[in-house]
Amino acid sequence: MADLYQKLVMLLGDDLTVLILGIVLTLGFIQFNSLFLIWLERKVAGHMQLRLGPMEVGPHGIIQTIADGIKLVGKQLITPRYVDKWLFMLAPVIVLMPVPLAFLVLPVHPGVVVLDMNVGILLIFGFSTLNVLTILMAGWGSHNKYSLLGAIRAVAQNIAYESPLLVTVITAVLWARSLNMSAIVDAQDKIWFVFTPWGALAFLIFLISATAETNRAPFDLPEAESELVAGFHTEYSGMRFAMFFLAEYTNMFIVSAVGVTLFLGGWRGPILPGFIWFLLKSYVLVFMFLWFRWTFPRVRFDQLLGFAWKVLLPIALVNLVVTGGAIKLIDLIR
Amino acid sequence: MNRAAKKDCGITEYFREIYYGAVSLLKGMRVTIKRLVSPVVTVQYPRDAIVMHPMYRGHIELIPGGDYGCVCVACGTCEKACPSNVIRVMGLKEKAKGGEKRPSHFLIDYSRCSLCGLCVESCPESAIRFSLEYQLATMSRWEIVIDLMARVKETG
Repeated sequence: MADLYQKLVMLLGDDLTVLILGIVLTLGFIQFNSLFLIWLERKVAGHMQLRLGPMEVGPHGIIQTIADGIKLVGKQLITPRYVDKWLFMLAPVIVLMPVPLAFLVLPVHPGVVVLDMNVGILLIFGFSTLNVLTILMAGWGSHNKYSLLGAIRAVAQNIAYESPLLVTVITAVLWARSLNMSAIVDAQDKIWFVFTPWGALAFLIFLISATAETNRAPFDLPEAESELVAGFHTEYSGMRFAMFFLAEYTNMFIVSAVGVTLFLGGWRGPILPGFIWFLLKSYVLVFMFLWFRWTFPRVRFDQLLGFAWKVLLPIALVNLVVTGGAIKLIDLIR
Repeated sequence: MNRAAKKDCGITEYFREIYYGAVSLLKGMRVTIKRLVSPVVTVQYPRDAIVMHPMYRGHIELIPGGDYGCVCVACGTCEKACPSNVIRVMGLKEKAKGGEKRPSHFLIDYSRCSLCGLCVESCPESAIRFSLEYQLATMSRWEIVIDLMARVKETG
């Protein structure tokens, strides 16, 4: 293994080797993560409703998702007659593009990060905005009223919830005094940001906004089944649909991982090695999303927007000011 | 002051709403997390099935016993009592004098049975009861016509 790595370094140079290895590992992880999360979601849903969930394929249905994936690969890719061909085809391709990028700047282990960028957190949120674009592309290109309505909702919702989300991210950045993800983890060596009062509030707002950003219940209006059939992916079938599914579950993990990095001290933790702590914390946050989904009913659209603009954003802004004041005070005392 | 008048009267109401909203959401989350760890109520059906409660009302069956498998005397009271007219009892006497009458066939068309239980109540010999049978899927409607005499001989 080490020998192979040496050869790769000789062949490609240091940076490129790390980048290629990072991307390969990331792509592998994305597949594994989605398979695991879809299974976990179905299991959690089952047990919360006092049933067992998937049990047939493999022990406790563990390879059920692989069977589903094979079915989706085998299905015909139906393109309806009047769709905008380019947008319709490109949307499920582009939806997965920003996803591996976000993994590159996440510090997963002490000293292990594929791209140690100065503006890591900006990169993640810059590219995650592409997600909305692809939803709009899918909705507009589908030539279907349900798809378009779902896409319009997705855009309005993402604009609304990105504001409080970014304000809380700024709060964390202010506390860490850096946009570099590794530096943000380093800044939490004494105390995790979530254990300060303003940090706890920011984390709560981050969690709510992140749920809305990933279009998860109770904020899953872009794909509200009872109103919009399947929302923006109504017309998609087979592997194109699977791409949206894959992106949704990977985005869930990314948002959790970012939350862990910003608020829960990243890979920090006693005894166990760093990357295990990182994964453990991330999956605990992912579990929170699953928990939300199987507990809360879907909100109405005006409630959704009202909650973002009237409750989350003002509180997040006040919290930002308070955090700034607190940092100044702590500096003065020192 | 009633609730409607109190609404929209400023910053206290704003925070009160957030507070009560948050509390009710947490209550909901407590319910689901309890359900997550409590035992499931469903059964993996083809592998293990539920034992039916003794009071379960399946289709009727003849109570086993007697010289020829059941105590039915083929009097036909159940046939007359049945409001849906789904029972047909055919009896025969083996000896012309002094012998007992016994059923040769006891047919019910279960697809039209309403499970009213009048046949069970009216039976003078108490020869009928509700069975615990619930696996009743058939390929045609003729298969759901059950011969209870054959059934009681089979199950013993």
